[in-house]
Amino acid sequence: MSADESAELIAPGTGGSTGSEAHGSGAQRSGAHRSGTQKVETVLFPERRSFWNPLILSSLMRKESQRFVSEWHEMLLGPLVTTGLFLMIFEVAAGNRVQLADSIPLLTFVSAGLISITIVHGAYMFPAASLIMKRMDGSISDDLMSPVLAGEFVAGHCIPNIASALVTGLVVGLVCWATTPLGPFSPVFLLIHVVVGATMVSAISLIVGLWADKWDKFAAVEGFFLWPLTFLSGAFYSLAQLPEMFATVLPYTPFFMLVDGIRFGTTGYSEAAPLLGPWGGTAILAVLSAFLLVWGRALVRRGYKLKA
Amino acid sequence: MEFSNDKQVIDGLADTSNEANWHGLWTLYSKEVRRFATVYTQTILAPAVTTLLFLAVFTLALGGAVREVWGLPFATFIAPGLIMMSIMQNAFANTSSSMTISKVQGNIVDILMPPLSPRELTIGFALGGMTRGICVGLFVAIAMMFFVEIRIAEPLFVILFGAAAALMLSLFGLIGGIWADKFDHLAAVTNFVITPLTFLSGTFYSVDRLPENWYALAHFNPFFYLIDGFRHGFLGQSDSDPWMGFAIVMGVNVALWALTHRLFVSGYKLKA
Repeated sequence: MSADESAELIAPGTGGSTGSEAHGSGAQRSGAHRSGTQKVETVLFPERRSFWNPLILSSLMRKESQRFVSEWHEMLLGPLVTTGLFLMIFEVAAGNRVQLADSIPLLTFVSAGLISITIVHGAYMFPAASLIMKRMDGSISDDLMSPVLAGEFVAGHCIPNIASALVTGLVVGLVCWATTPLGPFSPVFLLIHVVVGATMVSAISLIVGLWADKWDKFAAVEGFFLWPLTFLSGAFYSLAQLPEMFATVLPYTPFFMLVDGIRFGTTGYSEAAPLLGPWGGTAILAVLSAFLLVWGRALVRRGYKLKA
Repeated sequence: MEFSNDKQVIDGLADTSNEANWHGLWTLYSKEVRRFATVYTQTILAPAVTTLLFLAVFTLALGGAVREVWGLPFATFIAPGLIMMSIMQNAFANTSSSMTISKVQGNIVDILMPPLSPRELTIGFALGGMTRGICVGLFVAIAMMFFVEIRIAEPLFVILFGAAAALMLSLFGLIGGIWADKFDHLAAVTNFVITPLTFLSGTFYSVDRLPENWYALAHFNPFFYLIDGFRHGFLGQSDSDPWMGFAIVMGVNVALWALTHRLFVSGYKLKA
């Protein structure tokens, strides 16, 4: 319907829908006619076609990838150094004296937390930064003028970022594996879980990028929301060390499911709620990701804070 | 006004009078302070939240097993180190970002054109960075008081080392900011120099737990003496003698100050 409505605005009087007379003439109307008026929903990305065009999508993805492909070594080195530092600190401060629940060495336990942090940080950076920078530059018009669908817009911004987050997470995981023995792997689960997790954070990042008109807001969401949630969701400590109340509630929060799933995939140790298990966590994250992606796409389609 | 590309003439104009430009110095300092005070959410609150987060997470992660260090609860042990870490990171961030943003955006001329001598420039920026470092440190310390038992054994060391740390990192930030051409360079310095040195200088552990070589290496790290002396002020114990540490730290500060002053005088990477 919306495509028809926007077409009406361009060529009044050519259509036959109910509200066309009210729009076409622009004269004052009485209340009785008003009841037939359809509310015009201005749409920035009207659906001129139904299917995604692979060429358009791949061009958009290539453009977004170039943002970080050119400096991939810097992108990798930062998390590597930080991970190495954390591993060293844990090793020196507590070392192999510490055995958490189920006799897993501390470093092995903590590796999952480090991988989660890397993935969350990596997945959050680029969609939001890209959108904010483009909006400030004015080069957002390049994206708006091109014939992309709203869904392609979302996919083009999120998919390269998910890929880069995965690569960074993998590298960090390899570093951890070289340092400390990681237990039984569940590769299929791990792959699915990490993709779903990165998608969720990318979707959050996209929505934040649409909403934030200043860098302050972008940094605030990361500093006050993502970091605390990730750190406090069992990245470095086990549920057994928390007071009762938290220990019962935490397994039902998405970020805990993210960290726990990665821990299960790399070590086979999981503290998920008995009702859900690791796969349940992945499922819930997938549902959340889908919801956020749909929401993001709706915002993009409406042109929320994108058009003047 | 005469515009000249001759370096000696430009420097001469800046030092036309031998009196200090107090008003200019105060203006520069208050600009630097307002720069972070107006966005205090990003500059003071966010670092405080991150530091408290570290306190909570590391206490939960390590405190359970390493229950006591030097006879004190683990949280009490790492609290001074974390306060110091927040002071250091924010003092560095203030001056380095100020310099680099001015260079990238082109308003470095606002600093070079006014009649401020290199000495006044150094003082103004360094004090601005110190102010932010100390503000964040105070805020973090007060916030921590609600969660951790903070007791101050020797306030003198707390003040001395806190100020020395803020000054040292402000100067590091100035040097780094002057050297960096792009934000990437700045990020590299932060990630590969400042962060490792901060993390590995005994914030989370007592250095006597390190193996031989690392133990000796730690004593070459000026940040180690900062954190150690600061911790001595809180807990009354330390790995090394605080007065020796203070002497080393002030020596480093004097050297950094001379270097920064030299950079401003020569206009390295500031004046074309």
